[in-house]
Amino acid sequence: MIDDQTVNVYQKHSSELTRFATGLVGPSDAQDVVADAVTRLITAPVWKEAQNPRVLLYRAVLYEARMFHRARRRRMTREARAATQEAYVMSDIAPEVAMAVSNLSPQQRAVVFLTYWNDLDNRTVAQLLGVSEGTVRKQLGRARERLRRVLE
Amino acid sequence: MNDLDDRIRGLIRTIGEAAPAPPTIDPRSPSQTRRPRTNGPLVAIAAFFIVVAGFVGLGWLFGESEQATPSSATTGSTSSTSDSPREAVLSWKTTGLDISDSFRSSSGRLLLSDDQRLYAASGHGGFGNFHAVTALDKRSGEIIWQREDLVEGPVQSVFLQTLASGDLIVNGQYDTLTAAESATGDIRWSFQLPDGYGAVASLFVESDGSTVVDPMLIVAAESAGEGETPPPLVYAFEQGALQWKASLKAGTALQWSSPVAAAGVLIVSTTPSYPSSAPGNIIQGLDITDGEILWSANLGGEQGFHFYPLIASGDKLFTRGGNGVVALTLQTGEEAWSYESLDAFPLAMRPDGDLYVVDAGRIVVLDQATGQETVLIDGIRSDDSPVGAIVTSSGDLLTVSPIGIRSYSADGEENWSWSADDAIVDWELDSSTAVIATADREVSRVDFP
Repeated sequence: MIDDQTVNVYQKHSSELTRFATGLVGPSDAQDVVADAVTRLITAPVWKEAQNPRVLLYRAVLYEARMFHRARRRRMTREARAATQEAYVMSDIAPEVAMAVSNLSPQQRAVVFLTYWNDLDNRTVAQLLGVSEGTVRKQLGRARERLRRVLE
Repeated sequence: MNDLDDRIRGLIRTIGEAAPAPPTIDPRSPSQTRRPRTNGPLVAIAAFFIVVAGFVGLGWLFGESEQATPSSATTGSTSSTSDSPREAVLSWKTTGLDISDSFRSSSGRLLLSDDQRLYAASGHGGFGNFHAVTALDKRSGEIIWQREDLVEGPVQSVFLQTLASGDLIVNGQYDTLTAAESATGDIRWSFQLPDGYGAVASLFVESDGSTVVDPMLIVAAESAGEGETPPPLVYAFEQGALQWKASLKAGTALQWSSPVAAAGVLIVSTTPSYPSSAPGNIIQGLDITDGEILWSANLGGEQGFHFYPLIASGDKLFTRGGNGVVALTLQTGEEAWSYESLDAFPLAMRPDGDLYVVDAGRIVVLDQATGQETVLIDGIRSDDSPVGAIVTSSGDLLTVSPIGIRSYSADGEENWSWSADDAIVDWELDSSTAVIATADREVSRVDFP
């Protein structure tokens, strides 16, 4: 049974979480990733003691996205042994956009999305994702360089 | 704000605006969370992972300790071109180690080993228990010790190194570097960077074979700030004591390639300070006895970050630069020759001093003196393209790709190959064994034929 507070917290953040997931795995799988992340998180003991549930929700979505990519990579490795880069399912998005983002790791996608969509500074992104500012800066630099190669 | 930022913002806006409606959660039961749209096969995968994650996932996410279970199960497969088939044997597999799933760059290690132990570091600062360094018995895969307090914050891990004294050097994401006793994990000394410097970005252990105490530990630190930043610092330690400190050229920042030293010259790969300038490849040579900058070479050509190995041999440095592979004279930094190919990067040195290079589905040998090319192996699939290699004492070339390991004789004939069951994310090779970490958070030891 889900308590009302959990429902309210989720409803408050559900749209931004789904956009965030879209940035990580694409629109086709964003809902599944969010649903699985939330399902897992709200049944964990840590949820009841959460001081900042929004942070946990973001980390849960990112974790689920990474699991999603691992599952895909595992499947592709075993079945085809033909892919080292996870595909970015972007059936609803232009191919050139999908290609640009497909070169980024999940963490780089997260940093880029939070920086350019949510307009968050490095400190806030670091706090949200549970990493250092140095990591955010480094991942953002790498992501910008990879995107530059595709976009320019 | 610049044009690139505008383009990225536009791209992200395209993606963000394509977001579907959020899934709804059912107040009656979390297991009945509704998903307005589902993808059949992915539901099965997600269901599988929910089951698996019930055992390991939440611990990974929220920092609970992991279960590591040595196994004698045999996985992977071997093929051989020999008349008498020889097979690589999976000696053990230990699961549940939080190895990062990002493929390693040339700048550091997630795995390394000495005669007795294997050391596995968690990763690059991900989301969960990324604080751990684990020592395993190299013969059995059993965990000997595991520490989560060697550095403040997550273990950056890619600069895990060992010294002759048995110290294990562990680098964190913040400004602390720690040396731990490799047998026990006990902390022996720590070093903290000065204000204004964020983290150790590059590390190298100088070992020339003649040193009887600890070889020199070279630490290059990146600035913590944005925009106009102080130049990178390079420290040299011996037995934990600072020998010298040097600043690299102003207006440069460290790349991710590990430094290398030969003939008394320490080589560090840098870029014009980024993001205030476009990234590029500037190689700097320092006197290894006092840190004085001897020369600086801007390799020009294709702009980009430098993840590729710096290989020093004889009187030359080989690396990726310009529009291909370049050879620089170690003492002056002057270009000796270049091999132009946008896909090429150096792989390993042959015993005769020539260079193995990966180049667009081929492994070629470049003459050390002239750069003249000889094609050794052709037709390598892109997913099986080598990303690392060693040359064994018998002269064979052992390569590792994301999907397996191959052995070639010096004339390019394939001896045998071994295919991993999962994507390889890091490895440790010697002449007779490989230890590999896979995307499935497993570490395995494979004994070669």
